[in-house]
Amino acid sequence: EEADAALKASYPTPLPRLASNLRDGDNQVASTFLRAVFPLFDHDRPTLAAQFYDEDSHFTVTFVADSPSDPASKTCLKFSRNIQSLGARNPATLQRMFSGGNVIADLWRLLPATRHPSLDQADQWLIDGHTFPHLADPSGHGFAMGLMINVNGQCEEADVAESLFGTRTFSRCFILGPSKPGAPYPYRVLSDHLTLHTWSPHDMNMGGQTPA
Amino acid sequence: MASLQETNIRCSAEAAKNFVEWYYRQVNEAKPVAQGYVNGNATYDKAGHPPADICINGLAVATPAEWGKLLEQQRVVPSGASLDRKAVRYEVQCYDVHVINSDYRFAAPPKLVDIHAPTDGVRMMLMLSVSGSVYFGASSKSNDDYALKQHFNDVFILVPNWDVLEKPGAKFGRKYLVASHTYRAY
Amino acid sequence: MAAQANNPFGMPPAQALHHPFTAPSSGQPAPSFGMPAQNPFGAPASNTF
Repeated sequence: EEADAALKASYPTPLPRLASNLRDGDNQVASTFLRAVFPLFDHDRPTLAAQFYDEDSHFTVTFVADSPSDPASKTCLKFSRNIQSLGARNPATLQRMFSGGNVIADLWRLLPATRHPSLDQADQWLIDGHTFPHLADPSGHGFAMGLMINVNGQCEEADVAESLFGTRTFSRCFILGPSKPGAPYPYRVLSDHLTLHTWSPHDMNMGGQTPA
Repeated sequence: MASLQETNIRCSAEAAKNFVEWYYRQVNEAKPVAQGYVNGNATYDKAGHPPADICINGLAVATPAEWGKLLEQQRVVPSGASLDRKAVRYEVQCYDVHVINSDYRFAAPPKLVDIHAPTDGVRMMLMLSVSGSVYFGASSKSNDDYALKQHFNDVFILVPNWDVLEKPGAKFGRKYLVASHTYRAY
Repeated sequence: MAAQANNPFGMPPAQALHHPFTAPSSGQPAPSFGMPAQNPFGAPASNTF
């Protein structure tokens, strides 16, 4: 223990980790939206795409294996958009950008099945976000407000074709903006970016401490 | 649709690459990052842009200078310990970027709105997501060259730096500024 | 300009530097969708990653 304590004292201290910080406006869109998104992504992806995505929505997935023993799903690797490894001028950075609800739904059919924990399990999620100005209003006039929601968490993943079952840590960033007239909700997903990486037992408790 | 977006996709990827290379080099070399944010930019200030929204591990931070102080605080090594390498190292493993408004015009010089269409890859608001590892200290007892490793995820919302874009052929200065920064390490 | 912005999210509270995420209580208008059982999960026996 003494050796452990000495070692601990010899490296810098990571920044304190506080609980989720969500400043999403008084319509509480974030909690309503997330409550719909994760169960639908697990159970009914076509409905998710139809409800919240339109022809202006973008989706990409970035897969990164932290460990050489991670038997990465080939499907994930095939579609993974990582500018760090592909480079900005690689044709794949163009091909792996998925735009439009129908195209996104087609890709989602190919990605491994997932099972996310309930949002009521607060210690499994880190959810930060806030509203921000200066999106384009879809009517073509003036500015619109946006809502950024960034989620860090973990989920179970099943690639049935490759018989891979396991747990992944993920980061997922949603940018929401006002919908076009006639959409099911007053807001829509403009951008949805999913990062998947190797899970470690250390990730288990995402929630950190509650701020004083 | 796809061909109309091609320039925006290519330009946003280039912008992301430039930003990521600059930002993490500054952080790893213990140099300031504040000039990369909208705060203190005269053009954005004059037009009434709010300060950048900075949220660090769940803590809302008022200014980029304060974020700089947190980074500095994180680098402090307890007295008595000697390190032959950097106390804290950020290593980017992956990043990706989406255009979230290809017709960004807040505080834009009218000339730039006139000459650059929303398909030109110039007046763009971007969402940039970066993930990787943070390495703390140096281990004295194992083969690893660090004592502690965390995973980090940064999300930036970037907006054009009009002052740089206005100068034709500008080669210096950051083309994009941070309007929002959300950081998590665990 | 800001006052006229299209904003489906509502104004953020003036003093909201920290808002822990809370899932809406059951009385909240969580969207109700049909949930067809399209998830091909078998209960994973062990972590293969």
